[in-house]
Amino acid sequence: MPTPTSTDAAQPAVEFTDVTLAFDDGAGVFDVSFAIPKQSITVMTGPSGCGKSTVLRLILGLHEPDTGDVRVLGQYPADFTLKDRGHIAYVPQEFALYPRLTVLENIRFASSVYGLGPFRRKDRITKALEMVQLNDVRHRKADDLSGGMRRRLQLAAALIHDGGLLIADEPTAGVDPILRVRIWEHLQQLRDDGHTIIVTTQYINEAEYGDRVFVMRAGYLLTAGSPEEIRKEALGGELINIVLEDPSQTTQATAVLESLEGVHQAYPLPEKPAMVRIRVGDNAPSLVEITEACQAEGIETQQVQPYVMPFENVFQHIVREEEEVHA
Amino acid sequence: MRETLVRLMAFFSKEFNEIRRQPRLVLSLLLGPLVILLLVGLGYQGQRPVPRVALVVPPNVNENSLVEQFVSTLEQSFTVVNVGEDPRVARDMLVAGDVELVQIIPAYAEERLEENAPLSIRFIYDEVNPQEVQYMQWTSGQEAKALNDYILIDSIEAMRADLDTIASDIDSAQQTLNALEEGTADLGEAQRDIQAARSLLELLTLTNLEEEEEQQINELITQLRELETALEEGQETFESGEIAAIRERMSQVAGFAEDFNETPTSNIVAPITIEHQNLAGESLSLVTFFAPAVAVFILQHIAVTLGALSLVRERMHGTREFYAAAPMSTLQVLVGKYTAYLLFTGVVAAGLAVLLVTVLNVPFGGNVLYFAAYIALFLLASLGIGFLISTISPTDIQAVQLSMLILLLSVFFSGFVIPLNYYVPPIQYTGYILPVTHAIESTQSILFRSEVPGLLPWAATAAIAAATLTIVVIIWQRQFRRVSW
Repeated sequence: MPTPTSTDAAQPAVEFTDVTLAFDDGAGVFDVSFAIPKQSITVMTGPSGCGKSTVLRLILGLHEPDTGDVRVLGQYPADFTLKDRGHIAYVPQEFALYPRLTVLENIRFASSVYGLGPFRRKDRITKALEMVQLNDVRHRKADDLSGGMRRRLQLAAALIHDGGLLIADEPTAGVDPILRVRIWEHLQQLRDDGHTIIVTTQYINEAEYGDRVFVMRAGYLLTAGSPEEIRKEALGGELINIVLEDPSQTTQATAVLESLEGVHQAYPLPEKPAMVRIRVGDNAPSLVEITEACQAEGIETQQVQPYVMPFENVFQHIVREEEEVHA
Repeated sequence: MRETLVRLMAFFSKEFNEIRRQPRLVLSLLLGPLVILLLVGLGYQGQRPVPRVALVVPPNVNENSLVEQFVSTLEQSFTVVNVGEDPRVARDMLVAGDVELVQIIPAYAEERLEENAPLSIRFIYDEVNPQEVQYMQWTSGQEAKALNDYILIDSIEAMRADLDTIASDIDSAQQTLNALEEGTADLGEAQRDIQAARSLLELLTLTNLEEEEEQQINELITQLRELETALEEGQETFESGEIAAIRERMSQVAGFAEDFNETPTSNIVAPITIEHQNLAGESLSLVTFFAPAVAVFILQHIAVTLGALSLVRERMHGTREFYAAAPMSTLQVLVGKYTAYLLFTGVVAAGLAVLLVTVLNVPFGGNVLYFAAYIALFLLASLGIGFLISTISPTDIQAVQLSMLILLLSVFFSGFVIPLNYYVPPIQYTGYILPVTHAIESTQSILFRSEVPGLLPWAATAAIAAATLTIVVIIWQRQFRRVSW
């Protein structure tokens, strides 16, 4: 079931306006504003305790903001009807199913809670269990599953009812890398089918799978945008790596490259002696122009290619900048 | 509606599967109560063990009929394990736990009785249990009463033996009167005969005579006394009319003595007897009477414990957050749980009812439908108390502790062990908030009296069920959508 669009297709699925919720221990979320469009994947990332789960609970109506407005599918969460809740699937951070029940019994129970009878749920259960690779262990008690399997079961239980808005709190935690890729592919498929997906993750590199990424720290939303936008914003442009034939020409190449129009910065990488990295803006030279500029100065290049910095490093950049600003 | 049914069924199968995956819990919940009920039914004797007693008879008390009577009376309530002279030996037996009671007959008991002096028997026991102390005192009192009865009977029998001669003595006195009238009597002999007759008549006044009879005898005694005085003074002639009047009255009075001798001694010593009539029919054995109460006790405990653990476990499993986000209302969650547990405890209740009737031979006189309806209401009320505990208990240990407190409260305030009217009125109301109090009364009405329980048990049980459900819904609604971390 895609995200309901009966109101306005352009209306955000979720909208926070200056939302603050402070807990007694000083944690919480502070002055958070964002809008999540329908039919998109939004990845919230940040260190543990940064407020990701609190944002999700505000969306679900499990918390109420101290100040500011939260609107979900055009409603205030506090005013959700049971029908509204029927549009929302939720994967909690902790395993929230029954350890004494089998995989199949747990998923049947979860689907029944969403009103799916035995006939309607049968194929969906098979499909969901296949997706999370739990079909072979469907008669095993949840108590006997590994931590990763439990997360997968939790995810399958949330996916089963086909809610329009899927909210998953760290669904890939403890899941092996190959299956994590599958899960993200499945989430992307759901997005393509019209669902709106909001996912938190501590694996910062998983932010790449999102259409939009929210980076949070200490209850504040540091930045939001597409992965590319965030990367660009954090790094001040795009990065290109140039590998030289002769490592002794590094200093010369750095000077040549820095003199090119559109290049903001060029610098050698001490850990890779034959490599120079440049940071370029919107009017950056093409890869061919870079190669030709080097050759014109007698510098042969082995390889010239864009460098996509892992999001983990981008996150470190963002945090460092934030700390510098505050300092 | 269809989705609501799907949800209710989901809870039923979930709870059912969870329960069946805990074989120890199933064993303790199903077999436990059955075993307890069987042990109570088969093991309860219905009467306390007979206390053992050591009797101390001082050396100066002859082993005659009095001692025999002591032993005979004692054996009606006690087991006499030792009869000896030394009180220290008996006391050592008491301290060692070989006997529960020592009785010491005082020295010169017989002589004191003969002198109509009071006689005090010492009862010594070593008991801290106030109920046992009361029992010893009551049984000892019964024994003293039995002994007093014996002494009274003995005295009456002796009197009866004396009065057996009254006919011949009066006959002899009448002949003496004839001789006096004729002037042929030996005056000394006449005086002795008259005196003997008067003594018997005085003895006769101690019996249970009617007022008119007693008056006649007293008048005759006065007349005889006057005659004795006259004889003493040496009077030799008497008026014929006076002697005839005495003779006639003597003939009448002789009949009173015969009436007394024909009256059984028991009619004189214990003329009052008791006749019992129980409108409820034949009295039940203690096991039969208490078995349904034990069964509802067990049912309440199972329902309270299941309910108490239910919501706590949801919280501990973290599933409350899942429900909070799911399209289910608090009421739907609770109705689902109530339904599942009601069915489960209902099966246990049916099993217990069959056991009561088939194995313990408890009569089932009432209407089965009323019984089932009341038990269902009772289980709802008990589950409500369990769920209430669950909403306020942060851990399953605390939930179990509170369930045990409810059990303890039920033991003391349900009327099962101590009747409710033994408490002062404000404290009595504590019992009325417990479903088991009303369930005991109702099941006894249905089973033993074939009556529909009165309005109070129905209303009170329904009120407990409704009140607990309302409170649980309010508390859970607060906790449900507001998750705190």
